[in-house]
Parts: sequence; C-alpha cells; structure tokens
Amino acid sequence: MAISFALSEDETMIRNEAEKFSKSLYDDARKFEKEGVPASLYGNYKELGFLNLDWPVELGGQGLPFFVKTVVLEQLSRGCVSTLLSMDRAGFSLYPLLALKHAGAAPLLARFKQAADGFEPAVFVDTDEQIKLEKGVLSGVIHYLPSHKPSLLIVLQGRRVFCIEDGIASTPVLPCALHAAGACEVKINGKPVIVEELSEESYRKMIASMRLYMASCMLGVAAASYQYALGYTKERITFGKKVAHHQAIAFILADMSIAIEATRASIWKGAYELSKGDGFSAGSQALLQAQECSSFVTVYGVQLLGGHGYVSDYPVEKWMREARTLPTLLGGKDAAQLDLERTIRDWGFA
Amino acid sequence: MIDLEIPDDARTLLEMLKWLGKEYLRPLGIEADRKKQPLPADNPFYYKCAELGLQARTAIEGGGPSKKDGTEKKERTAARLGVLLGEELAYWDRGVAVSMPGPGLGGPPISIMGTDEQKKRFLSIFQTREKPVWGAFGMTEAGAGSDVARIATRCEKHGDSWVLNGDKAFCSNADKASWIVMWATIDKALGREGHRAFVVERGTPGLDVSKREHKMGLSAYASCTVFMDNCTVPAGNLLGGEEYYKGRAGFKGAMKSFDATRPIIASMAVGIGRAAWDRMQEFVKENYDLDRPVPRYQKIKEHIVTIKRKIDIGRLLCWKAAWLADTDQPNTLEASQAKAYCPAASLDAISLCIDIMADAGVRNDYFVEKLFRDVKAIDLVEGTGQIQRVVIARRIADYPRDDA
Ligand SMILES: Cc1cc2nc3c(=O)[nH]c(=O)nc-3n(C[C@H](O)[C@H](O)[C@H](O)COP(=O)(O)OP(=O)(O)OC[C@H]3O[C@@H](n4cnc5c(N)ncnc54)[C@H](O)[C@@H]3O)c2cc1C
Repeated sequence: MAISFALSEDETMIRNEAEKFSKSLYDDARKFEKEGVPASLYGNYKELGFLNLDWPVELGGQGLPFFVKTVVLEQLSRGCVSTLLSMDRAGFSLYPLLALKHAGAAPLLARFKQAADGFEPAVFVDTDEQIKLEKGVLSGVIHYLPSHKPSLLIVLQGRRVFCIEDGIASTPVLPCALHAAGACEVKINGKPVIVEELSEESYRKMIASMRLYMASCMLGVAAASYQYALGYTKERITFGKKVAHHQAIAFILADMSIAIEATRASIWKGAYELSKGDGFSAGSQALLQAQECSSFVTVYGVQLLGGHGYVSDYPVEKWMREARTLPTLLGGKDAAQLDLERTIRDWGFA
Repeated sequence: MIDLEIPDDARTLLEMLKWLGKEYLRPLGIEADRKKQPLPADNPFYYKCAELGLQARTAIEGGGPSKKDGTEKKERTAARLGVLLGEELAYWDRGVAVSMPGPGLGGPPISIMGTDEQKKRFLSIFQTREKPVWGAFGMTEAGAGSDVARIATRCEKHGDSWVLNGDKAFCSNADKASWIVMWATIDKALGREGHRAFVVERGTPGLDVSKREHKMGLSAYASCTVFMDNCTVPAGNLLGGEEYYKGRAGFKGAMKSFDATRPIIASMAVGIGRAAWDRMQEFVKENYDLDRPVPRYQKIKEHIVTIKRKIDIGRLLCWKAAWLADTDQPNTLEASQAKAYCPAASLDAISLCIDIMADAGVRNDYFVEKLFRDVKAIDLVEGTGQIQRVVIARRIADYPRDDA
C-alpha cells in the first residue's frame, strides 16, 4: 500500500537536528531581533547542512528532495523565522536562479556555492508591475524587503525574471516583524544583468518551491504559537480550573491543532507533487492554507495568554506579528490565489 | 518521503465502485430522496451487492487491531482502503452507501470485543452471496446521544438469558438488520462501567423496529426507533462474555471502534463534497464563460479555489488517520481531527457550490442542494463536531473526562 506519511530514518534524523538547532534559535530570538544575527550562526547553519540540503549536487548541494527542506523550515521557524530567513537567504534565492537558462546565471550560481560574507541575494515578487524596464534600465521602488542591503536583487514579474546588482540603493526601514532578517526600502535604477522570460515549466517549479518554502515558515510560526499557548493554558488557573479546561478555550486549542495538522498535510502534499513533476497547484494551495492557519492560530495564541500575550516578556506577540508579515512577501496570498484562479482550466473548467 | 499514490489493488476496487455508483447508488439515492422513502430490502441492488461479495467487506468494516503474534508480515491496509472506498461510495450516494448490506457500525464492536465463537456466528453470515444481510448498531437513545453514559436501556440477567428494556433512537438499517449490536446498562448509576453490549437478533421476542424518522437528507436508509419490551436474548449474545466487562473495558471497546470508523465517516464527507464539486463544474461549463468580464465571475473563481482546498485537505486528514491505524500507531487524535474538519469543510464547500450556481443551486433537480442536506448528518453521527473537539482536547490538554 502506498499511501504513507512516514519520514524515512534519514529524514527523521535531519528533522531532529533541526529541532535541536531551533531550540537554540528560540532562546536567543529576542536578542537576534535587536542586535542581528551573529556571523558564527551562519557558520553553524551551513555546517549542519541546512543551507544546501536540497541544492543540486553540481552546486555543492546534498541533492535531497525539497520535501526535506520543508520539514527543516517548519522546525527552524518554530525557533525564530526571522533568524532563519537571514541565515537561509542564499537557500531561498536559489529557486529563481535555478529556473534560469541565461548564460549569466552560471557565475551568479557560483557565488551561491561560496555564499561568502557580504553576498546578500534577495527576491521580490512584483505582482503589480511597479518596477519598469525602459531602454534597458530597470527602475522602481520596493517598499520593504527583509534584507539589510541586498547585493543581488531578483525581481519576478510573472514569468519574467530580472537580476540586478548595480543600481540598487537600500535604506533601512522598520517593519512589523522579522527584524533579525534586516529590513530596507530599495530604489532600483540600473541595468539588469539578466532579463529572461521563464518557460512555463520552470516558472511553475520555481513558484511551487518558493510558496512551499513560505508556507513551511508560516506553519512553523503557527505551531510555535500553538504549543506555547497550549502549555500556558494547561498551567494557568482561572475560576478554579485550568484555562485549557474551560471549554471555550479547549475548543480553540482543538481547532488550532486541526489547522496545523491540515496545513502540514497540505505542504507535504505540495512537496510530494513537486517531486512528481508539478507542485504548482498544490504548492499555491498550501500557501493559502498556511496563511489562513497562521493568522488564526497566532492571533488566538496572543488571546489565550490574555494581557501577558500582548507583551514581549512572552513570545506569542512576536509570532502574531510574524504571521502578519510573512504573507506580504512573495506577492502574498493574493498572488497565490490569482495563480490558482488561472489554473482553474487545468481542473476541468475549460 | 511521504507517498500519496493510490495503489493498484485499491484502484481496481474503486473502478468497480464507480461502475456500481453510476449504475445504482446515484440513481437510487436520488429516487429515495424524492420519495422520502428508504429502499426496500428486496431492491435488486442489494442482491447485486451480495452477489459481488461486497457485504463481506463494506467500507464501514474498518480495521480491527492487527494480530500481534508475528504471523502478519505484510502491512495492513484495511483502514486506508476504508477511507478510499468510503469517499468513493459517498461520492455516488452516502445514503445508499449506508444502506448497503453488511455489518455496518455493528461490525467493529463484534470484531474488537466479540469472542471467536461470536465473531464466527455473527460475521460469517455476511459471507453468503445468495442474499443481502445487514447488521445495525444501537447506542443512541432519545435522552442520550453524545452523553452515552446516560443510556437508560436496562439489561438484567435471568438464568441463561438477558432481558432488555428500553428504546433506541436513530438506529440505522434496523428495519433490515439480521442483528443489532445493542448497548444497555446493568445499572445506570455505574455510568459507562455498567454498559453491556448484546447482539440482538431479528425476531427476538420483545423487539420492535417499526418506527422510522423523517430526515432532512440521507433518505435511502431507515433511521429507526427501536423498542425493546422484555426483549430476551441468550447469555451467549453478550459481546465478549462477562469476563470482558471488568473495569472500563466495555466502553473502551466502543471507543476503539471509533478510531477505526471515524476516518471513514470523515472520508464520506469528502466524497459528498467531491460530488458537489463535479456537479458545480458541469454547471459552470454549461452556463458561464469564465473568460467574459462579468464581475461575479471573479467571485466564482475565488470560490472554486476555496472549494478545492477544503476538499483536498479533508482527504489528506482522512488518509493520515487511516495510515496511522494501519501502521499500529495511536490515531485517536488524528481520527477526531479528520472527523471534526471534514464535515464542516465539505458543508462550506457545498454551500459555495450553491453560491456559484446561484438560484439553480437550490433546485432539487440540480442535485447540489441534496448534497448540502446529506452532508450535514456527518457532523452529527459518530460523535458530533463538538464531541470530536472534546476528544482532541483530552489528548492535547488533558481535558477532564467528567466534562464530557
Ligand atoms: C442520520 C443519523 C444516523 C444515525 N445513526 C445512528 C446509529 O446507527 N446508531 C446509533 O446509535 N446512533 C445513530 N445516530 C445518533 C447519533 O449518533 C446522535 O444523534 C449523536 O451522537 C448526537 O446525540 P444527540 O442527538 O442526542 O445530541 P446531544 O448529545 O443531545 O447534543 C446536542 C448538542 O450538544 C452538543 N454537545 C453535547 N455534549 C457536549 C459537550 N460535552 N461539549 C460540547 N457540546 C456538547 C452536541 O455537539 C450537539 O450540538 C444517528 C444520527 C443521525 C442523525
């Protein structure tokens, strides 16, 4: 029988490693948010093999299925998603570059392999075409990117990809969350090194990976908030019983657990479909699911702690802000929704 | 890495159900719904089921616990097969599916709690291919549904027999059943520990199954009120024998069977949702040109995406709970998660199908409104949505038992 949700021994080992590392991220999360991520942590992250997990072997990667990456991302996002985004910049930015056929992609990819200091790739999905290419010059403004100072910017406009290195000026901004990952406004005015129209197939694969990536981050944030609220409400007493034992709260906890289980299943399905050739629909679906789940769970995560949930002595307010911020990246859930609406024909509506 | 491929042997079975569904379940279900009448026991479809050997293996059968003696090398597949077949049957018609011959909800308690002799006596009757045979399950009473500890049907031992007195409500297929697994209490004050399960056979003196409910949907099978007036059964019909009822075992028997059946019931909600999806799709193709710039079409596309997500995810939750059961991992939590999620998600999905079809959506001959009525029952049976949340809360937060 083929239907199975089992992780292999190796996958379990990697998940457990990620869980351990995630705990250390959690312990220092507030510090990283304030002071940034120390260089040594990048080293650890690379050494533990999380960065290049799913990279092709030619690029010095381990060539593992993307599925494993989703498992790791969930774990690490439980610890601190903003630190994760900072450490995995190259990991994330690779998906669009891998989709390129352009000759200029190879030297860029070579730099990923080294991922040396100061190399800071960033991806922006420009759903509203606010960035324009005129007479070979790319110009426009990105209001917020979770980056300190991108050295390579990859702009996606539908199937069109622009890579630009010179002519990107960034100024710091203060976002709602994800402070450890950096935050800047970017003014673009320069010649892109690569302009390419992706094939439909490459585009779908790239989008599937990126959406599943983001969905896994949202899931991790939601799972962290749920676990914390569960632990808290099982301890705290009001009106003579544990908060978790007031049925109004117990049912919210139950619904949180369902939402998380549903989201994980949805992401895993997306990764499975991706490995079978096309994860575009399932990956976009997973993103919508993860967004719905993480906003529901993290807002209640705060609510279940009462006033304490609102202050930074407790972690739940951070997760609520993160769950609000993550879905604005990559064109947000609207892009996924619209893509799915365009996919309807493939579902037999044509 | 996970695997979501439906294996070939299951595919073959699904193909057969598809044929059966098109030929029988769907038309019979629609007919029963219009007439508001259950199908009679002599309907040729039921003979067809017997002939095909289906009653020996209905989707409701679920998977009993596996043998632990090491003889079983191959991984069990019953639970996964159960959710696949459950979805497919309900896709064609959930009412007719429940009405199909077989042990029904009475199967799991017999295979989990019964002695070998009882299993043989009560389950072997389904091996025949000559005529359809049914079993039924009587737990709910007018005064006790979710709170099963409150059942008031009494049982008293008199010499070599037990005498049962009380009424059961909503007993599915009791009108056709050869036996009913009937739950009674030796002493109401004992709560669940006082519960005993009996196999009450058709024709037992004092058993009356003549009253039928008029339901909003699922008309194809009868939900009966069963009256027991000094209904006398032989001592050998006490499930598991007297030994079985030391401690909480009796109630645990019923609960264990829920772990097996809940994912299947949940998958039926998925199947009903998928039926609505298909009908809605047909309607959209016939009536709307989604490329035209009609403002409402934008809304329709949005709904379509949501509907698909609710159905797809529901299915995954059922599969996960079933996979756990097959691989002997605890699945009470996941079974309840699936059972809590799917009926409500499918109801939402079907409701959106009605929105898409607008005024046509509520017309009986456009079918989707029937599915809307049918699917609601799944959030009520085998533990309501609230009871599932109580079960989940017990698992995750030690929610106290005396509250539910
Ligand atoms: C179509 C159909 C077929 C059925 N078939 C069978 C059958 O074959 N055999 C059988 O034995 N029974 C059968 N039933 C009965 C079914 O199992 C019960 O209706 C169900 O268990 C609910 O019980 P109740 O109707 O008494 O509602 P109640 O238990 O009275 O519930 C009323 C409301 O209170 C909520 N509630 C109850 N307890 C709690 C709690 N602790 N916390 C929060 N909320 C709570 C419920 O969710 C519900 O919303 C069938 C029912 C239907 C509709």
